[in-house]
Amino acid sequence: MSVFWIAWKSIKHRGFASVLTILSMMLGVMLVVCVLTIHGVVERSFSNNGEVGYDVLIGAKGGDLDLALNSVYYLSKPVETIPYEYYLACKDQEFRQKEFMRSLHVRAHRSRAMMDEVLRANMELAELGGPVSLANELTFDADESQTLEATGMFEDGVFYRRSYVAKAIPILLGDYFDDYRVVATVPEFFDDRVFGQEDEPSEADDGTIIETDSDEELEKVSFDFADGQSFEAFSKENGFMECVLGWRVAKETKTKVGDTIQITHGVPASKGGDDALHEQLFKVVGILARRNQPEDRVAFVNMDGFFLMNDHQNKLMTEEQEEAEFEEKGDAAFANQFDSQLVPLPLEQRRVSAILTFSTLVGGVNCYAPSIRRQVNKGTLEQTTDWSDFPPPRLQKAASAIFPIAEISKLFVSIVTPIQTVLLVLTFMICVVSGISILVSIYNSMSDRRQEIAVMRALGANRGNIMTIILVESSMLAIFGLALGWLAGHALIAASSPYVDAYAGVSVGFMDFASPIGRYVNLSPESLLSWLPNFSAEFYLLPAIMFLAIAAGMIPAIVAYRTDVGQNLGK
Amino acid sequence: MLEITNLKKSFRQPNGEIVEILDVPQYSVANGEQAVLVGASGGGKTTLLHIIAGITVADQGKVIVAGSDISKFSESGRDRVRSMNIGYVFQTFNLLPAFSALENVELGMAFSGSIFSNSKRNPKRAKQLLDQVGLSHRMHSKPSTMSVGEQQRVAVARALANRPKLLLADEPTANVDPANQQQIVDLIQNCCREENIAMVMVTHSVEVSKQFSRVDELNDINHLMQKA
Repeated sequence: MSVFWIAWKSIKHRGFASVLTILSMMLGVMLVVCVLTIHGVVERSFSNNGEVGYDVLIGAKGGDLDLALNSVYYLSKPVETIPYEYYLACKDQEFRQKEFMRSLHVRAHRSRAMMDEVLRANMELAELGGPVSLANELTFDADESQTLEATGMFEDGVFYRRSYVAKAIPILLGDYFDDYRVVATVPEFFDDRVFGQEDEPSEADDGTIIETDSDEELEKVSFDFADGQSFEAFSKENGFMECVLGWRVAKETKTKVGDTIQITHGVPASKGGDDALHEQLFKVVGILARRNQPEDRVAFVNMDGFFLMNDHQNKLMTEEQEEAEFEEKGDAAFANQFDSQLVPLPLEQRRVSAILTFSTLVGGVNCYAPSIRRQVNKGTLEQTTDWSDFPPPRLQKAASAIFPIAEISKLFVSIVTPIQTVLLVLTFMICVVSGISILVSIYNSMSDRRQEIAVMRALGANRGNIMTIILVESSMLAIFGLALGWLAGHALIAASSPYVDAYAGVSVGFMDFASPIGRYVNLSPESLLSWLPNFSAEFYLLPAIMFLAIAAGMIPAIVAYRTDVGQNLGK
Repeated sequence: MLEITNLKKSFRQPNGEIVEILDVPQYSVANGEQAVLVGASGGGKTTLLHIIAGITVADQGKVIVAGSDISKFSESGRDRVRSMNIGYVFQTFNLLPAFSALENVELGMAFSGSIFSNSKRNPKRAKQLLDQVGLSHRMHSKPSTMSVGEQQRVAVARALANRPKLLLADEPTANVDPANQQQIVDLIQNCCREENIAMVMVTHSVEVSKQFSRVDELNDINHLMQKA
């Protein structure tokens, strides 16, 4: 093909200028590819976690966004804790009674005097499981039983009683394993979370019930294990001290099932966490399969074990009270300090960072979620325990409830959307600059090329041939720049994959493309662009750059077209 | 091969004044004939060649090249006639610096067909022509590395590449030394003879013109010169 041959020779002849033009185009395209893909990564990072499986998040007051960032993304500085009562409010009578009795037992266990005074009724604590194996034969008398019942711990929690909550999972934050967040939680955290709109069976005309396949309607968040399994609430082998590691945590720290880990109190290892190491060790019993979600970067530990660690027990006395007691009783003052790894922390010493609340679905609709949120935020949560160290007003005002999906959406709109706009403007400018670079390069060469063009005309080339040669030349420069830029952009993305993965929890590879075009333009049926297939934006933008480059090549092509042969041939 | 009748050409000066350059009532060259036009500089020799080649349009008159009256043709028609029937040798060679000697010769064939097709490019013929002009050892050399004489020989080979019926040579020896001058003249003469190509050579060199049987004075052809 003579035209390509001639154009290619011309590009080669102007080697340095051509390389600079291609380089400028390449950098532009590389930037566009990176910008679009990074936007896609941010978007995916958000949307990956948009399906959290729970609909209400109860946590400390002080910033809904912080609460969402902490609890959904495990980012930002940990928020304050909230009383354990909020968790108990979501639980049934059996759980509450068991927890309470276990707590009483613990008190009794660590204080024989307390046991003698409070617990005298007959109660078979062996039924309570776990640490109850340590139980003595404890009994309550009738009066004491009445007192205990008045605590409200022998009935369903308020949210459970009203059927608001189907499931609640507490989480605690604040510690680190290496540089990764530690999340203390319960084994139910790893259960499948099935949610979404469920089809109701419908009745046919003949009265038969038609069951619809609801699988497609339901969303499911599940936790697969690459190795091992979830930790148990209490294991005979490791007590409460078991943990599960996210994929990345295990990979980066080279930890495997059977190893033990030591976590730091409130400080990542890279920021001096070694000085704040907890004494207790957790045994790794499971490693999660890769999820490309924040859970990959988290070490999950048993909440009961977490409670028992140094500095995690909620002090019952102020420092002044402790000092006074120490002066009065000496070392005996610390008899209440809790140090056994086999006995859980009493309820009044417990706090949680947040509660992932799964509201009860009615006909597939989470209609109770607003009620939970309203009651928590308005402080109308009934105090159900009189043993708490939180006086009622404080308890009622300690927490706030948010809809995590709404917060994520708000975050997306407030952060990602403006970034998206800036990136789009940037991308547009890059495209224009890329086109102009081709225009400038070829146009500048035109004064040197007039004689060449005249000679080619004298050899029989017509104006159309000359214009085609210039257009093919600009197209070839654009294609080289485009191809190299695309490759460089994707290579850069692939090269930055470990960093993106580490920071955003999103895995990106060489063949990861930008978000679909529908993210940037309106493809709704009413839109003029509704016919456009929703492919990656790259598939539209890169040809657009190509078109722009060719359009830029039109100007020198027209100059070439209008070159006067006679005047430029000279002698 | 070439027949010019009542050709007139004038140019408009930048100050608006119209200057008549050519008034050629009759001029013709037969098939395979080698004609030399001699005359002083500024006599309209190059303009006449440009009109014959279809690069410039005459104000009036007929210019018949290989049986086609190109004065009636559109620009693209003239381009087509030029690409298929005319070879052009320039005084300053006008080799394209991006192309090697071989590629410059191939370029002479490139425009006689579709530029999206390689069918007209014939490396074998290009090599043969370069061999014919004694440059088989410089096929892949760029013009910038070649001597003036070598460049003009490449230009001659390029002008012959599309197997023209008419070769136009515009002072082809003006920029070469006497030794190369003779070589170039011999080359053009021999090539045209071998391929039965008609030739019109413009020169002001008496030494060159002496070597051709037909030599026309531009003053005799161009009536404007006679009037002057």
